[in-house]
Amino acid sequence: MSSDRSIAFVASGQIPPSAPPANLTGPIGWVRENLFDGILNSILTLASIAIIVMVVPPIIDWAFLKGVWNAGSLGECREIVVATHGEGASGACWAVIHERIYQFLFGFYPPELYWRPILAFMLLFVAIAPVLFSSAPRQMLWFSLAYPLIAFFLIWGGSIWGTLLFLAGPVVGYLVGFRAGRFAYGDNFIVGAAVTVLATVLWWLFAVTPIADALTSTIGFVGFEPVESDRLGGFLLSITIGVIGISGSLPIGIVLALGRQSSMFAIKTMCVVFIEFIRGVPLITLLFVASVLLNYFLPPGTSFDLVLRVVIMVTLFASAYMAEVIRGGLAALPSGQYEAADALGLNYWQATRLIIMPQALKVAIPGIVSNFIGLFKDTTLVSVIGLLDPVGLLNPIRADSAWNGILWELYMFVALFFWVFCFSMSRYSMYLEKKLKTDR
Amino acid sequence: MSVTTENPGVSFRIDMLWNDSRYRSTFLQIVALVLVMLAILWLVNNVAQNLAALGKDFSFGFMSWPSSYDINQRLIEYTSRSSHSTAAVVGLLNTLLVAVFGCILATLIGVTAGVLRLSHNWIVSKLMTVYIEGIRNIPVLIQILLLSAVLDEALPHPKNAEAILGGFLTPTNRGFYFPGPVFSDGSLYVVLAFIASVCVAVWFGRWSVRRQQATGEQLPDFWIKLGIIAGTTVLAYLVMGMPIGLEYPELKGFNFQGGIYARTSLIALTLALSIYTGAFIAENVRAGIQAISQGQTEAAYALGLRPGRTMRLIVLPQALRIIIPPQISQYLNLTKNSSLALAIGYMDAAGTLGGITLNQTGKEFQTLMLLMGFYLTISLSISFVMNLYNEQVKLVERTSVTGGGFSVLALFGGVSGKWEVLKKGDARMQPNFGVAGWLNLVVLLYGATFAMMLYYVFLEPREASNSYYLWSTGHQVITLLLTVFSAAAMMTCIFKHYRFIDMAAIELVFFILAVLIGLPFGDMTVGVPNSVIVFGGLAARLAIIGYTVFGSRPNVTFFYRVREGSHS
Repeated sequence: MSSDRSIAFVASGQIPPSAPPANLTGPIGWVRENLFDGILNSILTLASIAIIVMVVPPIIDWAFLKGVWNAGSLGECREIVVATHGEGASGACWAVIHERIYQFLFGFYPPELYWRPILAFMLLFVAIAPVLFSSAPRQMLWFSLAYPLIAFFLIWGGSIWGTLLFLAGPVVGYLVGFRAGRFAYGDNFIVGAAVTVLATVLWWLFAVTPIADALTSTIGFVGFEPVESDRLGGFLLSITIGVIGISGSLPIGIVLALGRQSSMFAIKTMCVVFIEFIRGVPLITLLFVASVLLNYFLPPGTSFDLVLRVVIMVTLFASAYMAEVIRGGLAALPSGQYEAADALGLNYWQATRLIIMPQALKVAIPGIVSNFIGLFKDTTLVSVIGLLDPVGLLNPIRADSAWNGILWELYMFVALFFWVFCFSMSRYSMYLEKKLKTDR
Repeated sequence: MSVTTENPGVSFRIDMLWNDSRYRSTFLQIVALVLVMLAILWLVNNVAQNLAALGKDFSFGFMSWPSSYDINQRLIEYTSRSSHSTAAVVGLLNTLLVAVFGCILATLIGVTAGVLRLSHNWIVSKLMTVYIEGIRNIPVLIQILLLSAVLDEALPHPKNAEAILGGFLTPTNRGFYFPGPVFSDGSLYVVLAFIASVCVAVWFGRWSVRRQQATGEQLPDFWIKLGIIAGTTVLAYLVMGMPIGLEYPELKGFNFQGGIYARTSLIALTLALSIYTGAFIAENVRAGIQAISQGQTEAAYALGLRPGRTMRLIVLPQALRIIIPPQISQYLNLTKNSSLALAIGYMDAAGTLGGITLNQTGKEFQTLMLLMGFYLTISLSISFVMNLYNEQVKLVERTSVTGGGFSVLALFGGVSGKWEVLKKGDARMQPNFGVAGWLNLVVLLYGATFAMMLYYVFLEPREASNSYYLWSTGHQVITLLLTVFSAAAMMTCIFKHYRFIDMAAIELVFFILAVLIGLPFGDMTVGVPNSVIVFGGLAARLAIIGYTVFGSRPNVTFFYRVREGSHS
């Protein structure tokens, strides 16, 4: 009996862990866990799949499979679709983009001069490379600094003398302020800087035009054929306004933010009033001001270019928002940073330049870039005051008898353009954030 | 080696203005101020010269001229014979209409999308990412134009229109038609019953909280409150013989009549703005929820709170502190973006004041000033309220004290004892601690003043001869200031901010000024004699200020400031 009850099995070691059930691992497990986990989630999943199935294939079919790229009018487009895909089929008529592509790109810029904006656009990448990627050589920053004038000269043309003399302004100012002025007030930085700014502005206001005229009459006209502002349009106009606004708003915004944080009451009040005023009104009212009101503020008889007025307004608008973002960055710094800078004996500008701003700007990067994106999107508003940016071009095209009734193709094209630019900017900001992150 | 900071032997030299830190700040400020003054002077001078050259004057009298244009989407009575000021008000209300509905819809869309993007359901969160990243990066103007064009083309003409949602909505390419409420005799009592039931429900809520604090027992508050409100209202509705009904729009001729009408452009604008803003709100919501650490939820569970209460009492209060400020700026953006209505022909403030009125009267300067003033008023009042809110919820920091700056309270210091600015974080300084309930009636006083002034200035149909825009400048300015400061006093009182006393004092000054220049208070309220408003208002204001300064209880905690020695 005892032999019957002998022990049949004794574990000699640990049983190896068995694999998890097949339906909890691999693709099936993933699907169960992520898509059909509970009733609500299953419903959501099914609804999402239904939406995707209902929306995506028809769009692909309409846009790509049945799209027409070569036709002279909307009617012709439809005929081609019906002829190739049978009665009742509908397809996108991309032919309108094909026909108007140059208008979308350059507006009414003279066709024989297209190379100038293209060159300016390509140089733009050279100019922003050192700003975007720290691996680029630092000397390129000088080119970035000079780029706005080069681009201005390329796009608007005109005599090179004016551009060169404008460029010479800061040099003249420096020479007057820090070299010639030395005899009067010695080695004083603040007075020197003030005299420099004053001399530069005076040079720009009173010296550039007469000297340029004199140079033109003596040496002769050197430069490009001038192009009027009202011939700018399309994406060229959007990018021009956007780039000037972006590069102008950052420095102005920094100054405004510092002013708002300042302990000097008058300076602070002025900055607060400016910032809150600009942020309190819609851009469109400021564009109205640019288009109908700005001439009231100038001495009687003067008036300047509408595009320039719009650019100024857009820049001021963006800089107020930029100031608030940077102020957020400044406020995010612990007060220990300010105190440590004081303890090291740094003066205000040294502390700001070496301690405060680098950290504040780093904190503010996401906000700064989303401001840039907002500014670039806001350039479409200039169509409301009659400038022919891509959105402003849509209505004339839709009113054209050949393309009457076309809708989705045009809007999708313009939207896609803005989307590509804005989306890549936001991705770049994420990359930058990750790169600059010093803590874990 | 000794260092002297003050050297009395050195007399003042001119370069000390910019080299000596004692004078530099003042000197720089004076220079900046002088430069700005000169610039402003130059600009004003230019404007005056330009206006004179064009033969234009600078007055707002044109606002009382007949507008002679039609607005087909309006919330108040308006014909083409009404004045430009009425047209402007119609536009302002239209802007607010879009803003309010847009904000509600955007919040719904945004919160849903934000929460779903955090869902661990892969396909849903990816779909929401596509929505957010797609919409955020496309200019809103394009979306508005596209949606408006699509609605115009896709919807049927009124002749072929069919009602959907059980007759509740009739979409056509002219606009959307909803059934509207019709009030017949006795509906007033239903409304009154509703208001009374809300008051009872509020009172019940307070009683229930006190009871819970005393005994620890909880009642199903929400259901009881709902029962009180719905039960009373439905009962009154039935007793009065169902006086409120719905009027359905009917096709007469080429168009629908009756019901509520919303133009296609209004629908397109609201939808486009809320879809666009919703994408931004979704990101705010996501960031706010992600910022609350998991430990908070776990700690709440460890204390035995159920998930619903954990969300309501632990997570949401913390998340809202992060979510609300950017949320408000999104609402402001939506309101400002609603000015793009101009592009699709919806008559909002920019379309009336900055559009047709500007073009008809040729007063670019004044109309744009008014338009900017309107948007500025909205933005500034919302940021004023936001600042009050932020001071309530912000975390205590080393250097953070409420107060600072000049306050009228300092003047009372000699009379009512010394006042001290308290650090936040003191439990007795929490906003709702020990507030005398009747002080909420103060809100009503200032609210009534504010509403009355607004109505009187902007809405009341009056003869063109005594329109606000034809008053003398002094009257106009004081009226505006009184309106502004009654609103400020109301808001500071609602938020229990110590600046309330300041605002109330300033409001009192403008009230007295308004009485002295003879503002026709009697005209503003039908039937109430002028003297009652003047003396009653004066007495009420003095009583409020006296009580908040000298009174025994509310000022100790109500306004964050205490008398020295009354706490320790």
